[in-house]
Amino acid sequence: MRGGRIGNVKCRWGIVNMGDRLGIIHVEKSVSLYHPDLIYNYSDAFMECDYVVVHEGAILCVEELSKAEEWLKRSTHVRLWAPLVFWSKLPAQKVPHLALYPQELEALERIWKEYEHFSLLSRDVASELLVLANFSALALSGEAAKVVLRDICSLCQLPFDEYAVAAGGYYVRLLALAYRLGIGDESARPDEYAKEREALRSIKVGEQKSLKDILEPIRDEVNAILFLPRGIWLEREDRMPLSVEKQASLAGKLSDIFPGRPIVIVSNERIRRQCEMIKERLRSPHVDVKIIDITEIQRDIDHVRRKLLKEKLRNRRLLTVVADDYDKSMVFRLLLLLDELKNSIYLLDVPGVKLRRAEAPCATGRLDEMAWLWEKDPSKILEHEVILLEPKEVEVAVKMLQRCQ
Amino acid sequence: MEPLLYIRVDEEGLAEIFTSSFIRLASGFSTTELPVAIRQATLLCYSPSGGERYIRKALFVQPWPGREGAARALHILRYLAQTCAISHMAYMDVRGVISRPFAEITKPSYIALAHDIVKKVYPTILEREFTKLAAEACIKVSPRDEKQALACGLTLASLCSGVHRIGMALRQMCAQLLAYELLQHKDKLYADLLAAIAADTYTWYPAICAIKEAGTIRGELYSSVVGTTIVGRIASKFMKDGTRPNDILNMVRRISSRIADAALKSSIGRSADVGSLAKEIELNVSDILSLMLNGEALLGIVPRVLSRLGRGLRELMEKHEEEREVEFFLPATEQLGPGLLMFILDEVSRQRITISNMTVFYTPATLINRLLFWLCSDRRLYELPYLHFLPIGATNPELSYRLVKFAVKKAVEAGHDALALAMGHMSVAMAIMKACAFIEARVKPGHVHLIIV
Repeated sequence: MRGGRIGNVKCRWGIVNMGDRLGIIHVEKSVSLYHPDLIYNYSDAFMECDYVVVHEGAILCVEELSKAEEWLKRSTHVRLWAPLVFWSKLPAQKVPHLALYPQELEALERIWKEYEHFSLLSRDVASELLVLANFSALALSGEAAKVVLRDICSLCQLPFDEYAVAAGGYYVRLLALAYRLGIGDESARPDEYAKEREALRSIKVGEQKSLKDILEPIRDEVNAILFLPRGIWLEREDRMPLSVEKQASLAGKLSDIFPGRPIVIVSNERIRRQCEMIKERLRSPHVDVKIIDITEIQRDIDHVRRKLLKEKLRNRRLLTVVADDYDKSMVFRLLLLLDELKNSIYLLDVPGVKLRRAEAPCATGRLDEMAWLWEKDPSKILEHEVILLEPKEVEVAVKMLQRCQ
Repeated sequence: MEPLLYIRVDEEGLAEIFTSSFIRLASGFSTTELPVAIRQATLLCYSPSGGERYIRKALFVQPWPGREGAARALHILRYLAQTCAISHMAYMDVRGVISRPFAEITKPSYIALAHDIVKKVYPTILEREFTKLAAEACIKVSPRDEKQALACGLTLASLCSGVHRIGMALRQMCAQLLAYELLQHKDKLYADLLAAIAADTYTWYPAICAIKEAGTIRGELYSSVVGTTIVGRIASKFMKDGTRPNDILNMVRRISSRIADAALKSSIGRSADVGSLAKEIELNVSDILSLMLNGEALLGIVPRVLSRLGRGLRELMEKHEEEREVEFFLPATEQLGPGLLMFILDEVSRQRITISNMTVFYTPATLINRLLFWLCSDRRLYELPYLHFLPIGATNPELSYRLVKFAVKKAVEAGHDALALAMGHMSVAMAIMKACAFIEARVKPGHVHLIIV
């Protein structure tokens, strides 16, 4: 509980009774708090709340007590300064100082349902902003939270259209605005929140495309796939880490969309063994897999040029896939070189791990989960979860890079 | 036992700045103040007896005398160090400094405090013993102005942070700020604080990595969780050589003393720059550890960034004789703090470029960087009035692309040139590239400039 404007609190042994004078501004269901620095790792949440209820001047967490021993989660709650956690009912055994939420959960559910679609959508399209908003409001001091929430609210300048990404981003902005009211940010106004909530309600979001949908139209024009895997730490030379297996899985699934096209794995001195592992995993009579080492690209570009020519990477249409991350200066030198060799390049990045809407309802009722995008079928990876530069965009970017090389 | 750093603040106003900057950063911005300012603090590294291989840390704190709230302040620090999930602090003992033995207790609050100390067996130290301990500290500093008080708070918070990516990033950001101030002011205090961070980063940090690697956290320990491979190599050496905790503690003193001298000398040399400062640290640490580091974990990134940026800017300015005004866009990496940004801005202005507006894009992974900027600008100590922050997401690339495109377009339509740096996570760099390519091709050709860093 923050902000100090929550009046009407009566305390008695074991129960904090809030009375009913507090109007609810916003309800967010199933809020998972992640350590922000672990958001690109396959890491679990450190706290989950069934509902976060925003009142003017207070942000409360409400837990549904589905089984008696669930109150033991209190040991997790005390590891945070905030928030104060209320319970839907109290366990039969007399546990002192648990706070009872005075309203029925159905009322919270009803409020959330009004914008359920956007709440779920934001977990897909604006998951990191959602993480930031929730973490700031529930884990940071009021002053620090205000700074971040105001940053999120400045996203209102984003052009508003019916595209899913804009709608999801807009919803997180609305949530941040509610949180600002909850922490007592004097520059946030309830009428602004109400107005924007109404505006959001009128948006209809169309179907979202998948990665497969955006690659299929270029199926016939692509001559080869260049695959640049993020470096993974190998504990042993003979044991393939799970992440490398998933990279190979991604490469294999992309290859299925472009049958018969060779896959060229772009290696360097740091990931040589890893690239060999991916090649071994992809080996099949139907796929021609090669490895090209570009370690020398910084010092001896001619050497790499000869290698590219040997693999006939000239005057071709290439799909260059970065599996999450790669040494940027190597990637951009490679782009310059491929451009010089008159190749036409699609540049695609597929993040490894991402927070997204849970695919199936889970026992805990959580609505989002960490997922490996690399292991998903391209028809299950959404367009907005990857970034694709078209050949014309790559061409312009290459020219810009040449200007400031 | 090795007392690494002793800080004494003699003015109450400075003590408040020192305390609030320390508590904000150490708590991961989950709290902003203590009920009473800290007058003196000593951070100690020690090896527990009984064959434990850990090198533990203890923080001795004396609150400002005569003020209420000392017991609460110590409870808050203990909570942050031992329980709070958000705090960046490593688990450590927090020990209160007691001015004299409780002979006759004359205040009710003292009874409660004494009872608490005895009941929970909280470690305490008498002031006269603390004074002796502080006198033995490798590094002893006393801030004389607000910037120095801030630097002391940030340094202590960095040294208290644990072994994780943010722990390393805090050490790096703090070291960069200290290096910047050292090169500007040639003040011994900054060299001393820098030496304390270097001593900790090259001894305690890898020593803990060496223990944890053999334990449960394996796999991508260094790249995903810890953050830099240089300390990984030191940890491997400690493991391979079976280096004992006491030997590592000896290194703490040797490194801090050597770096403090070398950094100060380097800052007043003719070719004083951050590159030579980093090299000086690398050479001295390599020598003491008998291991070629092949890089410097704290400041090493700064000359690399500046060199790539300088090259790009020189190319850009080659055909222009007049000064250029640009709007500047850059994504925050884990190392981007006020220090690195000021080095970048100096490099930009050296190339006759004036910045009219600057936007830093940040993700959850760089939230702490954004908040550090807020902390440093809070008292107008490092004020950059044209600096804005926009949150984006590396795993929400389409959203990031739209946000970057909107920001760059706005700048270009207002008649400015846009200069964007593509750095950090690949998908963020690609979102920036795509946005710049769009504006360059369709809005205003020749007015968007992109540099890969």
